[in-house]
Amino acid sequence: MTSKTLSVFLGIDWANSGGDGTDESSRIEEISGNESLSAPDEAVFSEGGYIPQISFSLINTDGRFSTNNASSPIYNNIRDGNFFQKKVVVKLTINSTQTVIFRGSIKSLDETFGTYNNTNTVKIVCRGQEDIYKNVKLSSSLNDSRSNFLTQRDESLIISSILEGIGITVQQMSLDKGLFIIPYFWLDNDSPIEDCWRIASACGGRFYYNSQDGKFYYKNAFYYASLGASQETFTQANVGSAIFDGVDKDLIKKVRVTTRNRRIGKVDEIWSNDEVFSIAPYATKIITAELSNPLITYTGYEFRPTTFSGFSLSNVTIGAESYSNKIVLTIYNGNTNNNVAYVKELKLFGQLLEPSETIIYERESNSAFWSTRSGSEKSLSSNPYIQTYAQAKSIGDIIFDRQTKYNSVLRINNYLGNQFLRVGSRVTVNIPNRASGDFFIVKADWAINSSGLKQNFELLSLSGIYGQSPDSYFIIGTNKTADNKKLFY
Amino acid sequence: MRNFIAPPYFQNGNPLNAYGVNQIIEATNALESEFLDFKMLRPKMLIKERMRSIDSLNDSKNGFVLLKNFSHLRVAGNSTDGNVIRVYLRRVGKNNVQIGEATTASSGFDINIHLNNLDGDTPNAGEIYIIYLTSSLEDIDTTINYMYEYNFTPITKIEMSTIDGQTTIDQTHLNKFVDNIRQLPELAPSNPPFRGVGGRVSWPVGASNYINQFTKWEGVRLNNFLRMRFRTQIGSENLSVSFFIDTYEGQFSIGSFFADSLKSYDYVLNFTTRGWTITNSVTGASVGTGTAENGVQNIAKGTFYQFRTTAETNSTSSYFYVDYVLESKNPL
Repeated sequence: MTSKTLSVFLGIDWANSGGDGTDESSRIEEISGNESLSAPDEAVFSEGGYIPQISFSLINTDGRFSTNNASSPIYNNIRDGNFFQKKVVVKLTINSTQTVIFRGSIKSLDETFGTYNNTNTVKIVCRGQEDIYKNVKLSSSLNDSRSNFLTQRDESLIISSILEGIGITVQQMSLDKGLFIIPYFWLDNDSPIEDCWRIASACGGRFYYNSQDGKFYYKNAFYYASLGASQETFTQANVGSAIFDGVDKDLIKKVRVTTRNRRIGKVDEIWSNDEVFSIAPYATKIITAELSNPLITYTGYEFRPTTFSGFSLSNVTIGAESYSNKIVLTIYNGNTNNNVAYVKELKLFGQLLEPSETIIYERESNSAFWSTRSGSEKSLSSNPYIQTYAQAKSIGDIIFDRQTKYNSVLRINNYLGNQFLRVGSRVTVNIPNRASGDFFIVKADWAINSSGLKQNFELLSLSGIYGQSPDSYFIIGTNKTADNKKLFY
Repeated sequence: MRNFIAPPYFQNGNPLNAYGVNQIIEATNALESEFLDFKMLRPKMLIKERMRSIDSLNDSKNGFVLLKNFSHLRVAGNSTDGNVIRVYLRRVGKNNVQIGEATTASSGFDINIHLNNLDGDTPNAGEIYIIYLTSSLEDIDTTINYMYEYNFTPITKIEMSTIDGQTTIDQTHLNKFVDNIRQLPELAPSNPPFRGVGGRVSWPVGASNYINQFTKWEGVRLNNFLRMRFRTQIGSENLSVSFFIDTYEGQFSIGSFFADSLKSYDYVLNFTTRGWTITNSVTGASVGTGTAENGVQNIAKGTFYQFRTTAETNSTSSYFYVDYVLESKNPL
């Protein structure tokens, strides 16, 4: 194994300048990170996602990173929690080739004070940008939901719409064209990132933040067939250990996918309020009408404004702002006789998106493998973005082909090569008589310290990822009718 | 709204997937069911009207109730050459406005109206409105062969190039299918008007040559107004028309009058004030005075009720036709 030269650039944008920020590389004690296709202890292909993370220890002898040290040149940038969400970039240079290995923002900062037993250090944990947006709560407007229904958007366009809703620009996205139509979409005080994960899962794809270029990605269900050329070959010479991992975490005998069908109801009363409430003269009252189901059309309201003694009152007006699951009413008492308005029998009318009958697609393996074994069932029953039987069948078939057959999992530790490899990278394994073939990385963790760069990976064989080999599918714009190619799911 | 899920657009580099192809197939099947199904004919309205009156909205009228769904309205029929057919629209709280006109030529007229291009008179989607027709010539037989709403969005002709074994199937080719399917109208392609069941009184009944045939409508009260349009033709004797509301509390007369000539009448019953009102300043009849005296009970919302009319005459040539009875939130 030839030796390699390494250098790390750690930039922290303390001043929010928008660039790489201050070079803090000289203070690094150790830096490590990890990313994964799914959350720890979950199946590789789960409904959630995983936020990439790094942590690093910085020498803090001079108190530069001490949040209570007023003499620190960055004191105002870190005091009182100001360090939260500062942008961080880490670049790794291997043999003169520099690669960005992380872009994200500070999640936490722990300071260890110098004692007889410890030196002054700070440990900073950074996470990908989706961590910031994950905890945002977003409600889609009625226009957005209705527009989705009328234009019949695919999953990619819906993800784009969600990301735009939290201020992500088109330049900060890289989204594959979607493969499925999701007729009904709404957000009701939901996490935009978690819903993007759900949509991706409902369509067999992957939504993630790329900590290398700082963009949000959606890869459709064909993702694993289009990973590109193998980026490295793992051999006994360049890995510290290669372990066959015989686990049944992803192995199932049966798949069951439930569609969450919807139908548009008739124009009817969709909300009413039996309470009588008063509004002072020339005052405004804001009322939020929470609806039992998502709104598809808002047609109007009825109410009876009266005086205290029950006489009709004029000039009491209502403005309505419609969201997918609520209508915010602004009621104004503009009565010119200074009467307090008593609002009675307030009703709203429109069309709701009502739950319809669910349809279940299920498929059980009858292969010889399962004839002598009991197997588990994978159920997708709560994903609201599986709305048609055709979609349920496609997703069910993908899961069936992927998970009812045993698929090799390998763990590679202490990779010593010159590549910085990420989740989703296609790699080749060549360990004679033990393991060989094309795999892709489903988990990665790495560390850089005085001993150099250490990378560990979990791999899944590409050969079992679809029912056919990835190059056997008909590619639009490439294949001819005479080619012997097959339809994807 | 469509009764099928549109196919997704295809993109070069993506796989041709079964889901996308199946959505094209399903949409095509829906297309056949919606537009090309030979087993069931889509009804067109054929109405033979003797538009006996001249061109006056205060006189004999022909009203048709429609629920706004589409962008265009077609009225086509036959009449005597030179007869001018005018189309009037009435919306809630608005006056009648003329929205179309055609002079009969070669015994035919065909009026197409862009309903979405009427400025402030365009009915909203889902709104009930009434179409009136008038004739410029008096006592002329007119047949309305068609009246229906439709969407003036003709389906784009699909132009697909032929392929052979060496043709690369790309997104341009595939998305032509998708585009054409997505451009299909989102609702049933036409919307004929509603016309109520017509009651007719024209023959003597009973030993005293006394006519007492009634027509009855029933429902649950949801709205404040009940609108009725009817026409009379008077023979040698006066025609007496009476109106009643029946509830579980009893029967209540809400007015009657003697029709005095060949007329059409619009009446609106306001449940909340229990008074008849006469729209359009119809002259000749005075109905509604005494409504309160007759003790008509206000009918609570949600209450079942019946509305009925009777017409009485000794003349065998008197007629009483009901065009429609319509409950509405606001007076039309």
